[in-house]
Amino acid sequence: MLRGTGALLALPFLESLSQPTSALANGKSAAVPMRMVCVGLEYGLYPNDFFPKASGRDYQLPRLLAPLTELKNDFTVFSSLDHPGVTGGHLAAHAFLSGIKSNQAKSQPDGNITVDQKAAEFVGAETRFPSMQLGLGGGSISWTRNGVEIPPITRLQSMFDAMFLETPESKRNRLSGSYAVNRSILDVVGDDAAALKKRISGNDLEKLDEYFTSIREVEKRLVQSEAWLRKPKPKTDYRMPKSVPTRFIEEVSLSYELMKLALQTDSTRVISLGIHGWTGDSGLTGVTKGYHDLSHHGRDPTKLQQLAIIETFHTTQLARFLANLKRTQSSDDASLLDKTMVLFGSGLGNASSHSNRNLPLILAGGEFQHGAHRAYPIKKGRQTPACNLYLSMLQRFGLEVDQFGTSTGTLEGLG
Amino acid sequence: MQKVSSSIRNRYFITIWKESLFQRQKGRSVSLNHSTCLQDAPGRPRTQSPPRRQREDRPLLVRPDIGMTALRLFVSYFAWLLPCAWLGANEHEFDTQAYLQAHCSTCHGANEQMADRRFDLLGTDFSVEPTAEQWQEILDVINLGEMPPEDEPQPTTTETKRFVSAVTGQLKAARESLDSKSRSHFRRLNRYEYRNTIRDLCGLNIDSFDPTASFPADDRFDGFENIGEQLVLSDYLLQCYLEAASRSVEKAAQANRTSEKIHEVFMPNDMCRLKFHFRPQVWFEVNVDGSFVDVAHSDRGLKRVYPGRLQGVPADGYYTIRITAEGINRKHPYSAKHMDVDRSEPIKMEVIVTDSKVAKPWQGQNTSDRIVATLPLKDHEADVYEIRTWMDKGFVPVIRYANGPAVFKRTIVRVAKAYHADTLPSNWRDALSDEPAEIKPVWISDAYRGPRMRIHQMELEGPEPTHHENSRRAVLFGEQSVATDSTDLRKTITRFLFRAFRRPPLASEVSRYIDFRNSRLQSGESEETALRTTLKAILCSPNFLYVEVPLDETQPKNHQFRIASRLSYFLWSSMPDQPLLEAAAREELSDPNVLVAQAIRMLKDPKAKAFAEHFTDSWLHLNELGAMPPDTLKFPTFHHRQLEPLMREETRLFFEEILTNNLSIEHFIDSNFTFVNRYLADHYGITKVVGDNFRRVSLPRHSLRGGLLGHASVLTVTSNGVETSPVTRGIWVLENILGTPPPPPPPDIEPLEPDIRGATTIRQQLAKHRDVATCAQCHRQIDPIGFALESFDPIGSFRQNYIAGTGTVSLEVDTSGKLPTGESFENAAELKRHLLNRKDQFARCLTEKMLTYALGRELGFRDRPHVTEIENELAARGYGLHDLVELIVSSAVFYDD
Repeated sequence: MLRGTGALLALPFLESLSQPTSALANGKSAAVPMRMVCVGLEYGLYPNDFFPKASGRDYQLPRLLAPLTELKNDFTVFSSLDHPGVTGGHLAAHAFLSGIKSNQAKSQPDGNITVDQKAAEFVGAETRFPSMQLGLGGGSISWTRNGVEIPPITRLQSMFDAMFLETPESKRNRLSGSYAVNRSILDVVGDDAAALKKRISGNDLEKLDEYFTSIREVEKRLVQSEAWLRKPKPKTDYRMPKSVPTRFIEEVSLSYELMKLALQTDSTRVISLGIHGWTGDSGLTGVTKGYHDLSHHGRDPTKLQQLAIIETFHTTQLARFLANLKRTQSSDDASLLDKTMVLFGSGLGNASSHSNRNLPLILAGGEFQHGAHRAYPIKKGRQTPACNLYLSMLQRFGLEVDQFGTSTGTLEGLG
Repeated sequence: MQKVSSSIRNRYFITIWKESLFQRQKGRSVSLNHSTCLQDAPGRPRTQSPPRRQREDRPLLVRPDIGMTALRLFVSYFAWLLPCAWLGANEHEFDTQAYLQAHCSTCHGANEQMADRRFDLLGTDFSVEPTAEQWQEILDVINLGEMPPEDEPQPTTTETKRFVSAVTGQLKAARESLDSKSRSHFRRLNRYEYRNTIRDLCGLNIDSFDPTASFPADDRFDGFENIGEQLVLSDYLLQCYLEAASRSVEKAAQANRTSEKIHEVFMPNDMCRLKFHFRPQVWFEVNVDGSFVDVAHSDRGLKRVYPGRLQGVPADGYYTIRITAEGINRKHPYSAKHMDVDRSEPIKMEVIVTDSKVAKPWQGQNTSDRIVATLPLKDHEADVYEIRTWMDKGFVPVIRYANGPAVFKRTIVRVAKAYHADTLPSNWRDALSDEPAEIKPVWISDAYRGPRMRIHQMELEGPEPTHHENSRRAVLFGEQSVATDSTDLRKTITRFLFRAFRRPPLASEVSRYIDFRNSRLQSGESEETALRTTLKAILCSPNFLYVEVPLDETQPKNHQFRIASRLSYFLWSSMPDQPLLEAAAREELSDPNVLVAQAIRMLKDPKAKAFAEHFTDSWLHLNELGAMPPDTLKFPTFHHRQLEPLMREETRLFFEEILTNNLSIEHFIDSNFTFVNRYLADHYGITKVVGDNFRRVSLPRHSLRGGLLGHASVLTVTSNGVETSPVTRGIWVLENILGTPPPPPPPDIEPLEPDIRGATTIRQQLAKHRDVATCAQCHRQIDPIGFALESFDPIGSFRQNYIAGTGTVSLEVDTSGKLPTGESFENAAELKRHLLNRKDQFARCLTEKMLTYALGRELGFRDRPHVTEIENELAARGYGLHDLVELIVSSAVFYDD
């Protein structure tokens, strides 16, 4: 879903206040904001082909990382990070970006908010879309602080249109009118809720508070939407393919293209992409079995061989995306990759055993010091939570926070 | 990604506590033998009813003609009295904490917290609910004889007896003192309740219209989607509500009194203009000479027959679609190797209505599609098929061939190369060619002899006129369709508020919304628009969005209306209708007889389908079907024949049959019938079932298919779409049939990594697992049940052998096992016989599940007496499912909650 500032079906809007172009003009990279992209795979990555043997800077790129050879100094690969206490195989994979399972969310101050949404809250109304969520073959990987899984954008064409297709004047007026009506509705139902509040207490107050909080949030959004409605949208030379891609490989590739466009035009600064699988044709040569089936390889070599084709495709696409960001300038002295932290990984450590331990994780860009394989073996019984990495990312993003999810601090050694 | 919900607090909710009560009274020692729980449990008298409720008036309470019942009640009467006397003051003074310290703290203390339980910090203040729940759980496992484990030092019988009676007494006292404390009462409409309520409140047809389409999924608790605690209201959802309110009111307010009728006839040239195909690898839809359209493909993603000039019907309403069609070449000359189509089945035509604004209707399937009919066609004999269906404004009908070659392009290329190579021009492989490279005397589309659907003509007529008093405007605004003067306005708004809030509105509420309407008028809206905006606002009020809110003390009568809502959301998943609201207004709902009579009436209404649907979805977790879709390549029939909805349908029909006829709930465990149509029968290996309609079929004695454990829905939802897991299925049975969910695995245990190279079976791998002491305690309960169900593959087909990764037949399935209580079995049929011996345990489980669903909240130790009461009366009446519903609505907790 385009987590836009407008009402749901309304995807109006425009150019950012701080466009990369204007930043380019005054050449101050400090003025260039940070972006965040999180890519999550539903079925993990085969550990033996993913984790390098040696740690530190002098490591051999294993099979799955081979496509990233050219970019070795632009990313870090982590091992032995995961979410302490999170188990349950597929059913726990949704904790990938939060460290908290949805059924544990209630006991957490921020619920099971995912790292991208935490960052999106920080961006607020500075961009037309506070965040975007994509999901290929399944749902998104983003959750709000109220424990709601945000529905993903399902049509890439609508993502493109929302970013670049100018809203006709008549529709703008109509939308503007509906924002005003909705604000007046929120006023009157707020009175109903206030009357209700007078006669309740205890737990019930907490429950009703959800309603009041929601009203305030929506009001805020309506004001922001109104503001964005009158601003023109950015222009692009990019042309969508004539027919909507139906094959998995094309969908993935187009998703990365659109993500890059969104970042480049500052339509949003936070994007998540959940990759589940395909229902029709994968388009991958040599893959004759289903993705989920192959992830349950049971170490069968024929299955592993097909699985490697899929997983290598994923890291190849990632490499293309990173290279693309690196080629794009976001200011005189910084590439778009410098200003975008890209997290790639999965909530499953080993899909064949449904393990949620030792998650495959890569972080690229974002002006971190990259080039190494950082391993965090359990020391003195203490495990390093993946949320430490997320906390480091949030701080780099600009948030003044010292805790996220199950973090115990920022990630040691990541500068 | 999906969500999980599981109850830790509620884990051992099901217990056998009354058995030990019974045994104590008879002076026997408390037997800690697990097998005692298998005996038929004696009943307990009902708990004291609140004075206002005349419990003795309850209908069908005791059937004096059942001698056993009287005896049972007699025995249990003493069973109740004696222990009460027995529980003297000194019993309460037994040091229960010392008992825990002595016998439990090694594994559940500061050093170790097995099964995630820790008792050294557990207090004794039973007025703290979580504390009391924890004690209840401890009591349960001790009564079950499950703890301390056999291989640990055992407390003396006397010690345990005193512990049990002390804790039992304290829990009872806690229940009584907590009873006056009311619970949280906020429960918002969930997604399906919202949709149904909009249907009834605004008089809308929701066959296609779905105002909740963009709503986020509701959080589940143990499969239930209607638990108030879990139903969060977020800003995201509130935005959805604003949008949904607007769409619903606008749709309902569209005046359709004056809409013109259409009657269109579409000829083949309106539906298809392609005269021939020269490339077999494209879809096959041709109109050779203008007299018919032939369609040979069945791919959902490919072109469909659509009358291009129809832009969409002019208004919502009922339309008649008439199609002249026939089946061609069902008996075709191609070999099964080339053409994989079932010849025993007639050629079928699927009629779909679809929103022309969502996608181009002739392109493949889209989200607005709704199948309105699947019709078997006569072979080589054109006939007229007529369908009456609801269509929303802008919708159009399209037709597809339902059961032809499903991966068509591959099939026809195979056929063309083998049989009709001479029809192919040299450029047939070029997917982009518009023209054939050379003209052939015969094209593949002429030469092809494969099965096809032939359409001669399509007619569309409608909408049917609606009577003014039934029109949606009347439902929405009241009799007068547009309120103009202030009296009518007040009437319209008051009436709508009453129905939307499901109770009489307060004067302050009426004036609030009238003021709002006036302010909209002042801001420039027309009278009609201002009224619509007002109705939209009402649909966003907390009083509409929350089914249950705390009672207004100044309005005691509202309790009656709350009960009306509770009943209608239980049985209809929607708002109360007029008769129910009237009964509430007359304050009749405090009489359990009236509640039961209303329930009987409501279960006969078609709206009660919602109960069968959502209760089975919740109880059996069928709402998770589809979260892990079966592998498309491994299980092609699941997708080609769209088995998933058929699986759900079987279980719902089965439930409805048991409910309607008040059959015993034992049928859920084992039954001599089920419901199938042709495809599901094929799936099950049942012969002689034809057609798409479901019918009841008898099953042989001891059939593996009898009961829920033979339903493909259950067997599929307990698999991950690729392989089966005896663990998942075993846990499912423990949770949903026996009501004894095992605790979660210790956090440091890694799941099994299957290794299929060594050709070991899952059974052998699990055997290793059970050798580990920490695993054994639970897995000896879980695994055997799962083994029995190994004769079903991940989509519930019968199998005797596993299939290896290469697709070849592998090791034989071994379904034998032994329950921890000693009963052994060879297969699922024998397992079910053992489960039937635990009928009471199942009855308790089902009672709790249904009560949870009816109340929309998690049950706790305070509900225990109510569950026991219902369960005992259910046993006395012979375990009928309809009786269970009646007992729940007439129970004290349903009214007092």
